[in-house]
Amino acid sequence: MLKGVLEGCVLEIISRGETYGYEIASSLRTLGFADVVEGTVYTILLRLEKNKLVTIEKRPSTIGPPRRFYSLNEAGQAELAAFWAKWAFLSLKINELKENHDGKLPEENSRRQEGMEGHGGAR
Amino acid sequence: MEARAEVLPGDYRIVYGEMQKYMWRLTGGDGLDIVAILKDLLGLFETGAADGKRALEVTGEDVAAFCDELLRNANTYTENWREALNRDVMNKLQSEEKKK
Repeated sequence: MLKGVLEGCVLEIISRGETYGYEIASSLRTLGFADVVEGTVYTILLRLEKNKLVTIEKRPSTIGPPRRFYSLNEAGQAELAAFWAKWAFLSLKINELKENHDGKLPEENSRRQEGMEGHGGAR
Repeated sequence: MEARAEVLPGDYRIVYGEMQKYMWRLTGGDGLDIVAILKDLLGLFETGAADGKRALEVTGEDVAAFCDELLRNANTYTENWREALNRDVMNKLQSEEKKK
């Protein structure tokens, strides 16, 4: 599951301006994802590339092979919006589950609340 | 490709060699996509080495998990089995439906 979350984070980071693998990994570590290495970001970037969500530009570097710089294309922007929508749904549902951790599912609670109407509210 | 691997620092050569063994073992089809993955991987390792990083700083300690992520883009035995399983279930359920 974390993989999908990280993929969304990477999309968000790229959307803020053209960047490359090492910089993305550093941003994620600064965010608190302590064990994110370049390899993790690398496999995510491969997937984004395969799904044609990013534009890639190769630029020569002073040492080593040319570096790949990433920016989001239109499909990438759409994917990012979809990620945040999915995330909003997921966090809402998980928080609902957490707040109802006395074992009652949300429906049961609302059913109970209906029954208690007129008696001073259920919350 | 092997010449490029030869000039990598020692720890990268070890990790690359082990990853190669693991990934070839899982290959399905003609293996061309594994070759493409290994070629890209060499690029990543060359960049890491040029930056003065150790191999495990690039791959993470869980090298197997890193390989599995790379293999998600490749034709592998297990992936073929999974596809075959879903296809067979579909086919059998459909022919069962037709009998009724």
